[in-house]
Amino acid sequence: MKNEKMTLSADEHVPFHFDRSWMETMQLRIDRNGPWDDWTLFQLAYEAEQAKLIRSFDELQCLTHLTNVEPLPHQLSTARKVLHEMRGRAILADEVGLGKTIEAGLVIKEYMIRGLVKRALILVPASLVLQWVRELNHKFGIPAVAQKKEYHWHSGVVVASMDTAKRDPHRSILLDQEYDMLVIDEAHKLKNRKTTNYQFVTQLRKKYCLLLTATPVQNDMNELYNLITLLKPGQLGAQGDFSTNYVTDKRVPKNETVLQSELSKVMIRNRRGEGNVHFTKRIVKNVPLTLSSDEKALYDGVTQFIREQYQSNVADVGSMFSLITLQREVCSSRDAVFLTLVNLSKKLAENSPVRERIWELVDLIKRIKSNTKAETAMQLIQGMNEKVILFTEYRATQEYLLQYFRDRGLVAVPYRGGMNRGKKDWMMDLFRGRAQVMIATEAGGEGINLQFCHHMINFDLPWNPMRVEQRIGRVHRLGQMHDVKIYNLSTKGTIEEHILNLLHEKINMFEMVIGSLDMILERFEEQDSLERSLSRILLEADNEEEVRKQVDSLGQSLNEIRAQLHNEVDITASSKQQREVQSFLQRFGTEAEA
Amino acid sequence: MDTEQITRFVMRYLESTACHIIEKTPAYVTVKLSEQADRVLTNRPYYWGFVDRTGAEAETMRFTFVFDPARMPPEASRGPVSYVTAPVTESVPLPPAVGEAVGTGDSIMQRYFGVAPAFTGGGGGVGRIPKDNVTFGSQRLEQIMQAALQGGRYLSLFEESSTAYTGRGQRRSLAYEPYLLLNVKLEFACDLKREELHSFGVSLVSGTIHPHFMELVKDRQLTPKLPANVHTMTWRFTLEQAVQLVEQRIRQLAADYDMSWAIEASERLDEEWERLAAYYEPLIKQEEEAMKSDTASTDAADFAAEEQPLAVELPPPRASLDSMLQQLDPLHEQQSDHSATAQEPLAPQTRSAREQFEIRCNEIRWQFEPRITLSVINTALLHLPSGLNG
Repeated sequence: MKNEKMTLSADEHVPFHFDRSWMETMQLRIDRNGPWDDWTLFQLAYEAEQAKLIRSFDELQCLTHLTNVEPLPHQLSTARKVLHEMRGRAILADEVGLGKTIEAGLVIKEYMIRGLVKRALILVPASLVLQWVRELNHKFGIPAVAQKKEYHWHSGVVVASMDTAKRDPHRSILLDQEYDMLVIDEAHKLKNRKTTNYQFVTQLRKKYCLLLTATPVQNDMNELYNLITLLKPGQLGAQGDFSTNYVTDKRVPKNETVLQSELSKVMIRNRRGEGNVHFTKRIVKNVPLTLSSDEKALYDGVTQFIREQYQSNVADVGSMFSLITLQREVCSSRDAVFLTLVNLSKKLAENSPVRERIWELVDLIKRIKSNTKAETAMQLIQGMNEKVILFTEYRATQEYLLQYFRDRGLVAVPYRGGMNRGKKDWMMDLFRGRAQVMIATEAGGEGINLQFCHHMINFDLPWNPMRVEQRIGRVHRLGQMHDVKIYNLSTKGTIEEHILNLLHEKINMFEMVIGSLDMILERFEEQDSLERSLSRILLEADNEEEVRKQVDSLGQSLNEIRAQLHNEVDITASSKQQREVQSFLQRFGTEAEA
Repeated sequence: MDTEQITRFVMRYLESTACHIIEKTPAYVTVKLSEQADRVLTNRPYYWGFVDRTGAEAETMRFTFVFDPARMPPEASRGPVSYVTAPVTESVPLPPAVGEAVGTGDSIMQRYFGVAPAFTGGGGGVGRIPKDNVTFGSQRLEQIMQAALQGGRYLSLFEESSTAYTGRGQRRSLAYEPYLLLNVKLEFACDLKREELHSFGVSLVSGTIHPHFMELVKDRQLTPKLPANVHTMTWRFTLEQAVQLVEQRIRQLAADYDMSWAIEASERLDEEWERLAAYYEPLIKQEEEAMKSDTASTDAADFAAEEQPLAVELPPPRASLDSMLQQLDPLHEQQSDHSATAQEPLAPQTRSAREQFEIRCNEIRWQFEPRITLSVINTALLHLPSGLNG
């Protein structure tokens, strides 16, 4: 009985489509008796189709196609769930570091193998475009291109930045297309439905859709509702229903069990459980060093110079920037300071008294005969006798160190943002192969993965903790087999000491769980960026003592935020609501298995 | 496909396109491509365009196809370890290819540029042979598969007449029956997909359909030329008619299949549609009401005017939707996105609720609607001795 109904249904309701486009050519060749193709190729074509045949609806095909990536169990189960239960529309909300990109890659690959996705649009923050392209190409063999020229929009798989895509003329091009797959990374930027981002994404036409974010809700349950509305309008009812059914007081979820179960139909969140996905430890060692008297004289001279300059022309933003740079460079190497000083003096009028001050400083530089930091780094590297990556902020320092190490018979290769892809790859090969040291000025952006190396030296520290985290993330990531040893070089009695103190002692960022740093910073930087706060302190303080105090209080407020996030400290009423939202998220999802 | 199967596949491709094999190991093969293979595999349209227009002698590329990356010999070190540190003490061992490339006297590039700068598709410098993995799922293997597909679509073949008939006494001409071989892929698709491969052989004399025809013929001795003492029988079916027979057969075939996948997909489609309707219908209604009533007097318009003075200049439907969206959001305004409102008059940022509803409905139809597609992989006219035992 049931069978009959099915047959009927198939015949009557499922449309057949027969491809007859080939017939004309065949008829023509029959009429003219040729030209005819090759019999071996004919057989090969048939065998190729046999090999690629999708024999079942359910079985994951992509695994046999992938040789450059070994997905973890939670990533595979996520991919299966997206394909079979969520039908290709899902929010992937894993905690940071669990491989959302891999999960998205698996889903895209599977659909592509099945011929269900040919055109895909992947919108990501600008800084991640190339990383996505590389991962898709290398790990998944998906021929993705980064959108640079207008014609790129017509490629099969395009990765572009959201900011580009939503602007005309790109916007109208994209709105005229139909995408088999739309992927949006960092999708929490779509939480507000009034933004251009949100409006733009609503209007895109797509078959399947993946939204990736580690923080699907931050402050407010409506953020979640908005995200889901992008994916499947009405999944949680109309906006009114949602508020009535699931939210008390706009921020605090109610009817949680029902909500959780509704959510689980569209969202997957793998959490880092205890003893599950295994990250090795981070071992931090601070290496304090004392400047020689020459070096100390330069440091003091520069600091003095900066305060004078700041007080004499407060308004000039451009020169303020150079001043701050100077202050940071003086902690790195004399070469770095020298370059900036020379550039600064070039910009001044011939008869400016400041020029003279600058030349005094240059004289101080000339007097320096040794480089305490470079010596210390050298000793460290020789002592560990293993691969090590050394990070510096400054190109001049990089050049200096390359020279310095070379003179002492240590094999080192450079790595910097300005190199083209081929050169970067080459440097990476050399480092993997024969060089003991890599000296890098850049860590983020294009995803250098150095799991084979587990020593890292921060020759100087960026003032932006995310950059520090990015550096560490190069070596400390899934796949790293050893504990990662991080050495921070810091010169006593300088701003560097304060910064390190702030990052290490106060907020303990080096050993922090991956992902919590962005949350702390995001909260902190609602007012002002940490980098700017530090600059201000430095310029406005009158003496060392004041700097110390100010940096301390900065650390204090960071610490409070951290404590809030860990629910350890008394919290105010408004952050209580936030906590409710966060802890709701904590209860959602499954722990990833190793 | 395992490594062995892939190796066999690629080797057969290379041999059938007359590539010159330079080195073959279980892990890889290095070849000098034939022109045919070079044109489809190396992605050098400009180079081949140049050759075609000038009639210059073509220099094809060398290429290494890697079957088993894990068993590749470690790469010979090339270049200095660091351009900064290492003094170039050891001379870089030149792969034999370099010598040859330079030696091949008068290739056109060499005449113009001195040394032919590596016909290697870039990367690696003079004489480096590009290599690529041909593991299952790799783009290179896919490319070879596509090349096979392109180069093996339409065929006409005859079976070699067997020795019994070529004997001296045998004068009578042998009748060959023409068959249309159709290799087809049947795809059953909704939001997921399943496929079947079929190979039908239709006798153009009797109209009989043989299934698994490829299996039946693939090991026979086939030749493009009509053998001696053989004549072909007259067609009683046209190509068109033969194809119709196959289509009919497939419909019959599909009728017996388990169609629960399609029924489930249709049900999902219905559910999705209901969900969308429940969401959009109130919005559409609201929108239409707002349009009908005088916009200035509605709360919505007040709201819109308050929100953004620009909204006054907007045509009513959009203004009302904007305001509706704002009303929907119980938080009203926390942060207003100024770029959004500023651009609005130039480029409409929103579609009406009805338009959105239509877009979403099309999307779910596209996503879930069950369909069966038959595509033709390749097709051949085969002439076989009459009386085939199918």
